[in-house]
Amino acid sequence: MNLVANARDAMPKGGKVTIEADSVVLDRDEAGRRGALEPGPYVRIRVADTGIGIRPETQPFVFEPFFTTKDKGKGRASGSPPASAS
Amino acid sequence: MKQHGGHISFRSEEGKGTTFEVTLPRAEGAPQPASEETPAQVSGGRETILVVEDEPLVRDMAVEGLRARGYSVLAAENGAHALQLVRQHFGPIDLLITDLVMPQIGGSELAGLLEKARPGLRVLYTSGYTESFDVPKTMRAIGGTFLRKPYTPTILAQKVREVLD
Repeated sequence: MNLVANARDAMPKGGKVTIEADSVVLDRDEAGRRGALEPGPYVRIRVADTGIGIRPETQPFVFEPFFTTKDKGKGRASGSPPASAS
Repeated sequence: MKQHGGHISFRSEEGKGTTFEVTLPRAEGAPQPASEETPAQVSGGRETILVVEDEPLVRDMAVEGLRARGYSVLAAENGAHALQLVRQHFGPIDLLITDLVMPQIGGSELAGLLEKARPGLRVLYTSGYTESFDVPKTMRAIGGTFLRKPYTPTILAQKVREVLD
């Protein structure tokens, strides 16, 4: 849900958000490229926007808790822990 | 994400957009909460508990689980809200359950502030970020008990009795 809200906020001039979900079976190579997951059945969810993008110098910080480039009060941080629904 | 055995990544180009990809293990059959033990044998209580948790789903689950076991529960979405609730609450507060990692006022700072108003307040900290800090060391430093997220209402109730008894 945060990913979709962030996608929206990344498009101040409007644009398109695409949400896809599919079932995949990852082999050893594909699993290894995703943070050393175990090979096996997975659900893959993609959230794409056509917005402003993330500056290269900001990209390393995207997954830090509470990281944001947004103004205060404008939605949750893009780095809001993706695992926070736990 | 790692807690769920999953992975998240993204690619982004300035001015063109961003794509996030989340990969989660596919569950076969009905979901099974981790290490759920003998739910019926976890006893409840009559104490008053303040739950501070910024994630609404987790907060609701904790509050409902505790109320169902007889506790009086105050719920706050952040530290400032918790401080306000405590100022307005004249009865006892036996236990603070707070997320350790929150924006603005973190869990241990909040506990420190509340202990001034309520000396002897017991504290149960929760967090999902157990890989980013040394839990036993942190608990020794700030004095409290720790419960790792995700937890089930039963595991929470179990831990609450441990701390209160």
